[in-house]
Amino acid sequence: MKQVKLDGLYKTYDGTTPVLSNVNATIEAGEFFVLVGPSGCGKSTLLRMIAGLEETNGGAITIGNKRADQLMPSERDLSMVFQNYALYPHLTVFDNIVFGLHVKKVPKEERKRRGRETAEMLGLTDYLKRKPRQLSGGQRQRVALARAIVDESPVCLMDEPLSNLDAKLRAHMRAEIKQIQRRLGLTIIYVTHDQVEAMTMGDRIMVLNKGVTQQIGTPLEIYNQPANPFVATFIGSPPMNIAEGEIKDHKLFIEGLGPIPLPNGGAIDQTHVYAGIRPEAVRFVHDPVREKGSGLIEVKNVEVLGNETVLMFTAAGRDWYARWSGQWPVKPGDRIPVMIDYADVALFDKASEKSIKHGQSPDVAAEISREEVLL
Amino acid sequence: MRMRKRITLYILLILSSIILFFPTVYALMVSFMNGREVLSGAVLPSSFSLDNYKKAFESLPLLSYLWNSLVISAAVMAGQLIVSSLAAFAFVFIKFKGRNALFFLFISTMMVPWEATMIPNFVTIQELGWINSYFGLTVPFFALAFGTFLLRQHFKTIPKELEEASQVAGLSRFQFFYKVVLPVSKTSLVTLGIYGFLTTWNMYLWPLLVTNDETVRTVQIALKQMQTKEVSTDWGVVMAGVIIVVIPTLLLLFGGQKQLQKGLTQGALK
Ligand SMILES: Nc1ncnc2c1ncn2[C@@H]1O[C@H](COP(=O)(O)OP(=O)(O)O)[C@@H](O)[C@H]1O
Ligand SMILES: [Mg+2]
Repeated sequence: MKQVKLDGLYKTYDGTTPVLSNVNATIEAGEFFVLVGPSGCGKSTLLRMIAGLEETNGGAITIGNKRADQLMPSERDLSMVFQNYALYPHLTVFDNIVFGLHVKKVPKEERKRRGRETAEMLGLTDYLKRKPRQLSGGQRQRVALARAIVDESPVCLMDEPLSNLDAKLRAHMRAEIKQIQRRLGLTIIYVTHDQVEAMTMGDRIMVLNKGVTQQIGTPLEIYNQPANPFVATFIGSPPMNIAEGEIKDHKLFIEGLGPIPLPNGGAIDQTHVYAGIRPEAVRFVHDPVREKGSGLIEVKNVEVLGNETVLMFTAAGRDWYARWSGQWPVKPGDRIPVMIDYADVALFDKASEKSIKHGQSPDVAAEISREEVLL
Repeated sequence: MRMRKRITLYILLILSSIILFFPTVYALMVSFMNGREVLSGAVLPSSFSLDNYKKAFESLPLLSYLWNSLVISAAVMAGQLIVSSLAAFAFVFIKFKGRNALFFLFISTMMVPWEATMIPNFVTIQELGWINSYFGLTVPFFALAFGTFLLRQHFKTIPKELEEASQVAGLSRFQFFYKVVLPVSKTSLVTLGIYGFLTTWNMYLWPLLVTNDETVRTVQIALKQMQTKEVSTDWGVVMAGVIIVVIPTLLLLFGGQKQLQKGLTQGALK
């Protein structure tokens, strides 16, 4: 297992507009590292640069202790899973799996053994003699994974490997890939546009937007302490509510909501800010007269999911969401009182979009430590 | 209504297949007739005697002509497949400046009729001393714009990721060519192979030009010789020759057809 180091990577296709600029990251050996961002932000380009399928226009890539950015793809000692699987249509499942071993001149007996073992790990034993076109989408996906794993390459790259599967299979494969990665201790660099995949699979996540790194951190760091409004709204579903706010008279004013009082000693230098509030932090108020910082909202849409209810309303000219657990008897058009606790609010500077203050994270609110859980 | 439509359709199909097939069947019938029967305009022979076939083999070294045709057709087929697939590979998988312009130049040679290039080709062959040799009969046909075009179209359907996957796996470009691209394009290769073989087998003018003795002559010339050898043409013998010449091409077509169908249903990507 090897470390992968990206140092000030730069990429442009047309010579002028950068597709990636100044990307820095160190992916530790044995780590599940997720690259996440909206479509077109340069994730695939970055992955393909690491693989050597795309040349770099600046910066350095180090794999293990070796400078890699001038090496051929095959010299970088990595395996790759493609979005459309890229199976060889003329070869059987087994031959597809061991194709790379064949090229590397692994002896026949060992090839057979490793091919069998990997097929077993992925539940492909019954399909070894079939051709790719005789398999379902999920099975092809497994063959593609098997082909990457059988290599025993220290680094494995995956470009949206689950995006062609249906939702249920995707959830299943998420868990399966994660388990295999843990069992084999693989270093995986995984590209996805799906924040759920990023949150559930990654040991660490790198959020990318328009070719610029927004934040690198563990899933909870990214969720609890987003570095800017982009990360705040990209991670989490429904997304964090964001609105322009003004701080005056020791209160935070957001259009469409009641003023939110700042606690004693919690003064903020800035006046113009972006306020970010997670949907679960928009709380229902039982006694609107007594509670400070409450306001009336008009419900525009309700989604009842069984275990929770998601309300949509408008504040500061944008769609906002509130997520409450349980089944709430609320209808569109209802006007209901809600409040926001200042401790739950994340603030970002309006000019630089940099974080000023993080919202209180849900685990702090619940006040249960890991030690207590394990008892 | 539907029934009547169907009956009309079948009658039309049967009629056209009779019209299409009549010359071949008649040739087969004539090949069994003796001279008198042919002249009397009979449609069916009185007996199926093989005399004409015997005579056909006796009057000319037909076997050696057949062998020449086979060697030349197979060589042209192989040459075309190799040259066209390599050219198509370059046009699809190797990036270079002016690739498309070069390709269109290449394709535009399809508009020059072959007869127009015959004389310069003949002079070249003569200069090389390839008159009366297999080289002269085969090499001019190796580069085939149509074949390159056909294979390029197929190669273009191969997903880019397949190439990238083999790069990551450590395949060289040439290994990618023969381990992935060729097997995946089997259908088109078979089509092109049959096309090349049949075209060469049926070629007449060029073999006539560049050969002047029996050593490398092909069967098409033999047929012509049979017609002109005697004062009055013995059509029974000529038709026997025709049937002999047609058989290998039919075999190839039937064999290839199976392969083609298999390829069409199996080769589908993704
Ligand atoms: N081969 C290419 N030539 C020119 N532009 C490209 C090429 N590949 C990708 N791009 C551009 O680079 C940007 C990033 O693309 P990509 O890395 O595929 O995004 P993602 O995988 O995050 O969706 C896009 O704007 C895309 O149009
Ligand atoms: Mg992509």
